[in-house]
Amino acid sequence: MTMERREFLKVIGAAGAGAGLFGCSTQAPERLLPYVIPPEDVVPGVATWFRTTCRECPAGCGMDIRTREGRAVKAEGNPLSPIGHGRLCARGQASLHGLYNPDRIPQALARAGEDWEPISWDEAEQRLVAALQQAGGRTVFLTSGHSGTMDRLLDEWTAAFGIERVRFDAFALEPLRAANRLLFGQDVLPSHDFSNADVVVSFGADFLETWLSPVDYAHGFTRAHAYANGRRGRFVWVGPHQSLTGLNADDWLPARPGTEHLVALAMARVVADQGGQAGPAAAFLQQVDVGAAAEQAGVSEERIRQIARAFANGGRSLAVGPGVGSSSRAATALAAAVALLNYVAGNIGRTVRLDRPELGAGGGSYQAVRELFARMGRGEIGALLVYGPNPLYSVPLGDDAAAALERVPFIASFNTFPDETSSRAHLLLPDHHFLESWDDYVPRPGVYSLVQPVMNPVFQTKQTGDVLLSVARRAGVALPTEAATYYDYLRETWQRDVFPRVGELPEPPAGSAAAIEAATARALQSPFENWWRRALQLGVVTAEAPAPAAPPQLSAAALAQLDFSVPEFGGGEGAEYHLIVYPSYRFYDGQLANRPWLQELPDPISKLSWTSWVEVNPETAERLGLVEGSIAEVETPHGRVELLVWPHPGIRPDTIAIQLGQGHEALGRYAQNRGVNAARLLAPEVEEPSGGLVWQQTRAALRNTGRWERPPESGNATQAGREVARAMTLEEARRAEPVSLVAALAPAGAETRGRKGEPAAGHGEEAVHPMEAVVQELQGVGGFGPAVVPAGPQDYPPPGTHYGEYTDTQPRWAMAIDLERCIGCSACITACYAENNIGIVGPDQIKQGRILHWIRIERYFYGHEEHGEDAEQTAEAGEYTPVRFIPMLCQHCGNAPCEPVCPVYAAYHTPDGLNGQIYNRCVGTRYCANNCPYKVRYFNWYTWEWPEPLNWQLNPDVAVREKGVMEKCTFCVQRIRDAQHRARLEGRSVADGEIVPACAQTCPGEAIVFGNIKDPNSRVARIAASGRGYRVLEELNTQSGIVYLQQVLPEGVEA
Amino acid sequence: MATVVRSETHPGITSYEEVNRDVLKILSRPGRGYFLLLAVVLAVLGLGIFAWMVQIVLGIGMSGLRNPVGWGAYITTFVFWVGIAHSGTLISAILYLFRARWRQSIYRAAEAMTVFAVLTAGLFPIIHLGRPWIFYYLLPYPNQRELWPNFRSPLLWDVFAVSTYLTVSATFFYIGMIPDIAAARDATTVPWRKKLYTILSLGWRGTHGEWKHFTRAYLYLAALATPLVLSVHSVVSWDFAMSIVPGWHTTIFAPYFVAGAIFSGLAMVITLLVPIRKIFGLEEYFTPRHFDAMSKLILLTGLIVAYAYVTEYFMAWYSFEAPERHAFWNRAFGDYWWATWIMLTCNAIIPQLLWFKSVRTSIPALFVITIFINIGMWFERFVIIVTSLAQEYEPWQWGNYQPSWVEMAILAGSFAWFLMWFLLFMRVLPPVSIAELKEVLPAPLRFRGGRPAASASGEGGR
Repeated sequence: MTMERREFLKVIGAAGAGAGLFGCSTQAPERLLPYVIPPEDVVPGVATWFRTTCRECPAGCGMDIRTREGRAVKAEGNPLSPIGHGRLCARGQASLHGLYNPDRIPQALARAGEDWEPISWDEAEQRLVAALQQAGGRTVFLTSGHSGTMDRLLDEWTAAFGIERVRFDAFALEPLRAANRLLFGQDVLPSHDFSNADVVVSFGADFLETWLSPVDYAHGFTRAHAYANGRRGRFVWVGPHQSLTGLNADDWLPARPGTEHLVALAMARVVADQGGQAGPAAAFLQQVDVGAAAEQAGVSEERIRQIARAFANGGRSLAVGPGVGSSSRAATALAAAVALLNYVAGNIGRTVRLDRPELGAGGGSYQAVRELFARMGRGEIGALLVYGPNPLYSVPLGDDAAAALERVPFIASFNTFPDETSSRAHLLLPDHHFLESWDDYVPRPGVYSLVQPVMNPVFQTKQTGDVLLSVARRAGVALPTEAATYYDYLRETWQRDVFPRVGELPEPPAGSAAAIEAATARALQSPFENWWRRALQLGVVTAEAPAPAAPPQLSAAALAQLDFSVPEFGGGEGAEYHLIVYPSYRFYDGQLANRPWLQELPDPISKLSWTSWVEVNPETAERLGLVEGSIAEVETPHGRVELLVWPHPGIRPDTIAIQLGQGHEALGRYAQNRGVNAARLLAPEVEEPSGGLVWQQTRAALRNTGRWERPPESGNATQAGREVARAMTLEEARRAEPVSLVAALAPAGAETRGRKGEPAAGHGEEAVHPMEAVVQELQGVGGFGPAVVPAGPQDYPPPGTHYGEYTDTQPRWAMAIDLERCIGCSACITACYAENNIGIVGPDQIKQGRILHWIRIERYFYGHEEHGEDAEQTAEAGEYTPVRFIPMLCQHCGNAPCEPVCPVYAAYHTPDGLNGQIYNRCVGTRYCANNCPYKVRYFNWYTWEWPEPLNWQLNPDVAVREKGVMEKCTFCVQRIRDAQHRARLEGRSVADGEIVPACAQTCPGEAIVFGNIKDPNSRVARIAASGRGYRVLEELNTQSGIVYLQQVLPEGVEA
Repeated sequence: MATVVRSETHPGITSYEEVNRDVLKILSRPGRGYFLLLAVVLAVLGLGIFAWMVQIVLGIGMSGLRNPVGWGAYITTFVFWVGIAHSGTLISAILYLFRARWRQSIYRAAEAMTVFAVLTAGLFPIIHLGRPWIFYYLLPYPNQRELWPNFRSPLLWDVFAVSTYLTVSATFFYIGMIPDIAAARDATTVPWRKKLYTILSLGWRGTHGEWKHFTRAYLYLAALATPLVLSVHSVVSWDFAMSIVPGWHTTIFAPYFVAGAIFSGLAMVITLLVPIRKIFGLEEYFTPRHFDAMSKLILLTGLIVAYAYVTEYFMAWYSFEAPERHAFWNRAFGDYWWATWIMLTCNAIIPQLLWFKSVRTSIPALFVITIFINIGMWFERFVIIVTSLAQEYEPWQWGNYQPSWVEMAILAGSFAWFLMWFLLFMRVLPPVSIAELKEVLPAPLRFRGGRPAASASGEGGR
């Protein structure tokens, strides 16, 4: 149903009109004038949707952008995208804060001494041409590893000018590429099919956060891992430090830093002994000593064997690694060992797809950029063009890196933001944000994802593709294209390459506006023009996938040549702790640190915002007298920083970890001077043979400065026995929910999303359980409506209702949240901020507990209190870090404690069971918040402001609140009313799944389901009926409208 | 000369004339000390008003309030002042109905304290609002949108309770004062005072008919005010008890709060009377006997309050409810232990000294003890409100509150506001009831000295 509505809604601004209306024009004086002839596509008050592709990380998820009156207001996932599955992570949600960032470079700028001088684009291009002609062949174009048409243009352009092109991405995962090159002769980053992997072992690959294609992987992972049909996947994390991905693991093998590859080899050996297909590696594996590997890694041999047996017998398994955080000097060895493990278990070609590589990530290497800086230092570079990367910030390049840049006579940057590298340039030629650009992106072979402008440019920027074409014309350099603009170049490419390969596209649903438009256009336009319009409507088109190639041959010789010894860690005197620096889920490589939503978002694990922290094992912290908020000093031979301490049970006592992404010296007001840049603690060391940076290279000294600061944090570490986030053992789950409710997740009428072999929908009905009574109650208790009382007093109140507050005609909106599917990623929080105009309060107010997140992810470390010493021992032994995530939002209680206490009826009950909050009526007594047992009501202590043009993003459907007003989750009431009005206009009732709140829409794990629970066939009613269901603080008789499905504990873990 | 017949309660006062003279001399032009004190008080009040203005302009974030502690120093201070307000009506109405013979000289000051305390308390619900400029949404005024306040909300009951209490206590205060104002009118020569008293005395002449109506009215008003002593603070306690917050949701709150209110109100009466007695030479009017009687009442209500403390803790333990138990554990041993122990020391331990007659009749000792009680009672409300909210059901949203400078300035300003009224009252209206005091003095004997005892208007007795 969702699909059809979307189809209807998304009347895409197609080629002609789209180019004219939303193309690359940069004239932007804003005048308040009424339309004389209103543009056809813009109906005031009605949203227009555009399909594009997220470019915040190399994954390339499909995106739907909702625009209102010509401004983008909300990013959502494109359900047709095989990468994003209609979901986005927090970074994708926050892309609008890149678009409207007040610190963007507003126009072409030329350096004038210390300052910048605005220049026209004409002049800027002339200056660039002059500089290129002067520098001649000594010019280098430093770009990130694009894929798709822009990559081709860059190649053609640099070739035509005789310029050297250097590709660079901070997280290029060079070791993974190198291992596949050496072992299989394929220089690629494979894609991974998590949805078919029942057993996953990750060697430090944070695939739920930043690794290759995190939304796809999170989506697949939850499908395969979450409890269903009496079975549950198994996920093992190997490595000294658990990031968010690691904390989702059922087992933790806390291997010593730099020994993960030994564990992988040992597992491969066991799998081979179990009858795995060792093939050419058989002899090599015979030399692997499992016991010795276990000893060196500091983990139990028995557990390695046991996990390896599960890996071999799991049928469908997957080993991944290394990630950035686990890239030691043995990173290529680890990648090779992981590849070998997959090979032996028969996963290559099944869950590891070398034939379907991830094209977006990388292509360049750290080594190349380091050499580039060395050449710049020697004065060999005459001109440097930068488009994308920010190496000066994101990787260590030695102390003289900035000086090396100084020696380049001319630097031009196309970057959108004044980052560290760009702020040293001589000429700034800011690119459009991707939401203002025409482009395409090819995340995987055969997946062609379009990038189209969703609105007029916010600033006087110019798309780099257009600049390049124009510069070539000005310089008289011939390119192999006739295209005058990048848009033409893109269409040319698609007409030539993509159109023939993809072929027929699915037709728009009959009767929709898109179908009518297509029908009229068909006769008038060329086949490609029609096809192109349809492609823009779809956002992503896919070519027929080539038949899977035969598994590649493994090169035993290459294997034998790799160095599998345990690497040394530098550090010197007093440096006791292995230092791990790992990517930030929120900021990726740090380029996103200027998005206020992401800074405000509590880190999924530490729950700290706006700052940096060092993660220290609680035991180590206690020994050093460190507590949460202590200021510690971390010193390596290469740098020294002071930062907050955050005790983390998921890290080895001999290891400390710092997240990358903060500590910017430039990049605008939101990023600058916050926290520390952990890359500054590292030496510019290249890993052989991959050419990647050694991220895990040194030990560090950790010292207590004796100072303490209140951390900008939310939350308590444990549940204090309150059973907010509940869990049950696998045995209990099998009894409570024997048959899967997953089928209920698929919206009726939509294309099948479930994986093969899943039971069809009918099975769900057998799963009706003790929760039946709760569901009935929810169905009965709607709100104040006309009470239909059957027969006599003996029938009152009707079964399942406590108060008789029910009505037959109104729905009862409710939500079901499966904690098994919640990975704690917090994308829902940012989606909620975007949809509901939630204020950004900043670090000082967060310290005061005044953060406004309507939905929050509570992260409880279990153990300690509830489990006494046993649990602590468990955590120490590292078998399993007991952590629970629970999204907490307004529960929309049927019998809400907040409602009767409000003296002015600002909190009231709607007939369809929502807890309404009328901002205009609220006088701010805060009694409702005091009386809310869930503490999900948030108060506006001040009037929060959005600096121009961040306020352009505000959703016109939602009021902006002023100081002194209480606010909270509304179940996205604006979406509910929108769907209801639409249904009424169309003379039908609202279909199940038609209303999707922002949090549910973006959840990569599909944990949240919303609907009318009165309809027994609705997904929410079917899922809520699970025996795993419960309601938080039910003993208070709030009759909350959210049913949570208990998490299922890993096998062998007691509740 | 016949032996002077001495009053049982006021042995030092021998004649009606003396009463008139002693009381009305207070209503004279004050000295420099008074104006200096008033200036200090006004300066502090100015600071409080400035702080409030800052809060209104910038937002209530200027307070230390936060999630989950939505109420803090403001509501604490509100309840504190409402509590203070209770002893005045207790003394003037209940003790009047019970014919307690020690109330006559102190009730006027206590009533004034009541009215001014309610005036102060009434500000705080408005100060603590997020949007005080629309405080009138809380009032059931007719409007074209047909919007009414929510009559289920204890906060609305509060609005009615406090406004009713203010109306009744102010009326009671004023009605009881009419004969005395008339006496002051007759005695004064200052033009503005003459004019003021003439208006306020409503043409009182002291005729028999007037006295008849006056005493009736006074009796009925006393009867009307009496239930308010119990109901107003019960309603205030329901602000808390009607919620589901662990530590608030308990049936004991109404009697507990009423006892606490009388406890703190009487303590405040003593705290105020001791310096007044000294400054204006009213030793013969506020005798140790009065202080002894009030101390006994303080001891009684203090014991009730102490019993309520014990009961709360017992019920928390007995309930076997984790959040409930946690709330009380947190009170005694959590981050706010100091507040709890200040409360227990000041309210439950120190008042035990009043078992000793020597303490009860020692004015300095009482002065010190009552100050401690006032501090303790402020902290009692602070403990109840803040510790309960700081750690409720949802462990993720636990957090500690610390008052900000704005809240402290407004708290100080509230004392200044209260003292300002009291200082003005002291010099403008008769602070001791002339008429009622004469009731407890022996009637003047016509033959003694052969002259009328006092001016006609001041004549008491019935």
